Amino acid sequence: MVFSSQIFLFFFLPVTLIGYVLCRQTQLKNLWLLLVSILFYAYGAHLVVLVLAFSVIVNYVIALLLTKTDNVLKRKLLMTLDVLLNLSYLFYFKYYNFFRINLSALTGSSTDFERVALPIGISFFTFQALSYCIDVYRDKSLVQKNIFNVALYITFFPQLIAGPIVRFSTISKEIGCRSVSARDLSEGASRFVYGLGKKVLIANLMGIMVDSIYAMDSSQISVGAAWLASIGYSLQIFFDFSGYSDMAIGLGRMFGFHFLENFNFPYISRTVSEFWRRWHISLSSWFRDYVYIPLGGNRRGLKRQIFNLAVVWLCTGIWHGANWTFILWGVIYGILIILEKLTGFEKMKVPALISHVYTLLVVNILWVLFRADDLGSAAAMIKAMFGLAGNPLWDSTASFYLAENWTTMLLGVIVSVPLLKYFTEKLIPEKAADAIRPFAIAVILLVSVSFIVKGSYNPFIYFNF
Amino acid sequence: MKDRKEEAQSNNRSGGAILKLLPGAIFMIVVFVMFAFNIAETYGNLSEQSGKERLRAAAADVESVDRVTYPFININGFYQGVMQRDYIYDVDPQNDTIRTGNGKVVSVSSTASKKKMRKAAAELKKTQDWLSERGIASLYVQAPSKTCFSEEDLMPGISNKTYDKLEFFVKELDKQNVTYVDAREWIKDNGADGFYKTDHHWTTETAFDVAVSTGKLLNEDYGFNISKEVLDPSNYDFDTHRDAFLGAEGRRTGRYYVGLDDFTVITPAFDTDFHAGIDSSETGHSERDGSFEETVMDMEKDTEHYSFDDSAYYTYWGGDYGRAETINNNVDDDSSVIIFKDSYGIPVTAFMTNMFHRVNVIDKRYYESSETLKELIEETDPDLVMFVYGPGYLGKKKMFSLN
Repeated sequence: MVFSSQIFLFFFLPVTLIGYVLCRQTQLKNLWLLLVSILFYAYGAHLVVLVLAFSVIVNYVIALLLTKTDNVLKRKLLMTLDVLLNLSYLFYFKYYNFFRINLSALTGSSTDFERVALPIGISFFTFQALSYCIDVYRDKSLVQKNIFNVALYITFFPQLIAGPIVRFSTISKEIGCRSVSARDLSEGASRFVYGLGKKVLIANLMGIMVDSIYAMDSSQISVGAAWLASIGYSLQIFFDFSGYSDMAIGLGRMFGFHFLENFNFPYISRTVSEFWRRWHISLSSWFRDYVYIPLGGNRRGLKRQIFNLAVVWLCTGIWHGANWTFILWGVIYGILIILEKLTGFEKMKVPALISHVYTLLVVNILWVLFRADDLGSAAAMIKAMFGLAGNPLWDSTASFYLAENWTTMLLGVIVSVPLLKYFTEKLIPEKAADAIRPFAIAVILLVSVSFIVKGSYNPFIYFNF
Repeated sequence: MKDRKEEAQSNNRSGGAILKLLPGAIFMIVVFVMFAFNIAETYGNLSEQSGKERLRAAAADVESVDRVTYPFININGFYQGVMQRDYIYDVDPQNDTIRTGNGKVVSVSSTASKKKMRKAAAELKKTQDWLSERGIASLYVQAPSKTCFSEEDLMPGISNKTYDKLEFFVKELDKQNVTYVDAREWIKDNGADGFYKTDHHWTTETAFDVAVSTGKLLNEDYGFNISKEVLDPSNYDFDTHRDAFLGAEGRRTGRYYVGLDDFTVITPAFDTDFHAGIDSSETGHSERDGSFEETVMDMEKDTEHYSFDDSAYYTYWGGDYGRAETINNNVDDDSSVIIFKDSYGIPVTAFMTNMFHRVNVIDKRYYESSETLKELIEETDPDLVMFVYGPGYLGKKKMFSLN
């Protein structure tokens, strides 16, 4: 079920809110949220919900066993078992097809095998579940003895299928005891609407243009159309994913949970390293805390740090998908970040304009790799962008998409930098901002609902990860 | 003095608090109002189902897009207008619409293969030859759409396929010696302005002009003796309602995207006396007696206010029917005409009922009788068989066939 659908907005959400208000005790509220979260996941996924149940049981039991023993070896063995179990089903569901296809290509054997369906959001809930056990193992988090609470932590519908990846320590207290004020509800709703607008009014409209141009024969794509597609995708993926995160954070707030931010205006970054401190923060910090630092981080010399970074970025690429495009995408980011470290690029006094252009150019081109179906398509699109395919500079397709989308792209650019934040916090009095906000929320909500009700292009990119 | 200051601060604080809670209140109102509509409608639709069926139907019902949609279609159209988007996507790509440079909404035109159009023209020629052998006159009136008056692209990157299609078909009719009239000749002065901006059809005024021009042609070239009174526009009442019509394309883009159309109800100012029989696939056979307004028109249609649910265009005949037959008791020359038409022919055929004693109007898309059209022609022995089709059916051979 997607947040930007009629069934979610006008049935699931109101029913969930009514049930939540009717349950008086926190434990009952938790059970209600668990029940609706399972229904949320099962809607359209059916038996795949068993994978989720398996994840809950495995991590609950192992976390409990970890607290039953002080024996270091036993604890290590238990932790290893937990990691292996989590990664094994992640590998099976997410990478089995990829592995078999590449094995077949190597051995020349048939690629005719039964494909494994990918349960949506598996990378998100697996990493979330893993973090719980690792934190218990490291004594950074108390174990949760109530399986329903662990289940709620892993399956809570706002963040279940596209993050943010929430740490147990972030919400463990709120699972036990929380309250929702009218202010929480209102701010949560505002945040949800803001995310809904990002998704429906920018990401979806960009998606139509991007998909249409990517579907064209690459030799027929003009330089202008190729750049429109790549810039359009940079906007689409940001507003799609950050919109989802905003909706998740807003929904969490409406039920009394405070999730950490997942994006911080990544497109204002001046280096690639900074970009990744601002983009998908919950994933970057997960890899930092559970891979990079355990490997030694920057404490074991430069060579080891470079190795650690290489591992992290290879894993980041693999996490995003079972395709060579994602792996290469992760590797290139790794190389760029290592180069920035080696050259001290972040500390250099490079003019702001140059560093912004460098970062946006790199990010934009790498999104082409991320978006393309395969390496060949990515190369063809990049060639088209730089006029290396003998393609024209401009054509009627580019004129059409520019004429149709320039206003949405302009809106996207304005919203992706902290201009509105600056405007509401610095330029106009607080009272005026407070007076404008309800009007703005009403407009965004009604216009977004108009697109949803009318029915239009509405996929979520990050459901695939 | 101090009390007043404290009171003002307190008021400010409570006012500020209300403003902070307002977004949440707005969100909850929208979500719960839509939820209430969902529940009310779903409950109504499910009363006759049970168990699993009911659950499945409930889920499908909540996901359906045809509820409470109209205000949102208006909001959507307004937003798309503000954002200067001229191409509006629909769930069904065939329903995508384009706002053209002259402020009209058109559906994205589809093409038809040249081979199919050639075959359709040949079928029309075959039908006309069959009629000619029996001494029955025939005429094909080619109705244009509003994009058929210029070959210009609908917008940059979107070619005008309908224009190309119509041009090809008309040339093919010439090649195959089909007796036809390209109605663009009659209405070229108004061109696209003779069509609704929110609907693909021509206006009732344009349809009236086409009907009158056809009548004059039949008098001049076919030897008919249609009364001059009937062909004189001054003998009709033209009642124009401002901003009263939202056409098929407009119902996808809302009333604010290009605005509303005026709608003119044209009725004879002279006495009329008809008997009409209508075969509807929905309501079966019905018979009516009375004036033009009581038989050929559906005066219950609201022609003064725009509607998402109904089309004022169907004020004539009441809609598309498989067959309608009129006997005009004020025309006593035994003239008989059969007209094959699509929706472009609705007002044209309605006006033409005033010209002949007997008119049979056949819409092959809805014709369900066991009687074949050849049998119908042999039975009614018409003086003339006419076809009035818009550009949508140019590649469809069966629309010109009598079998």
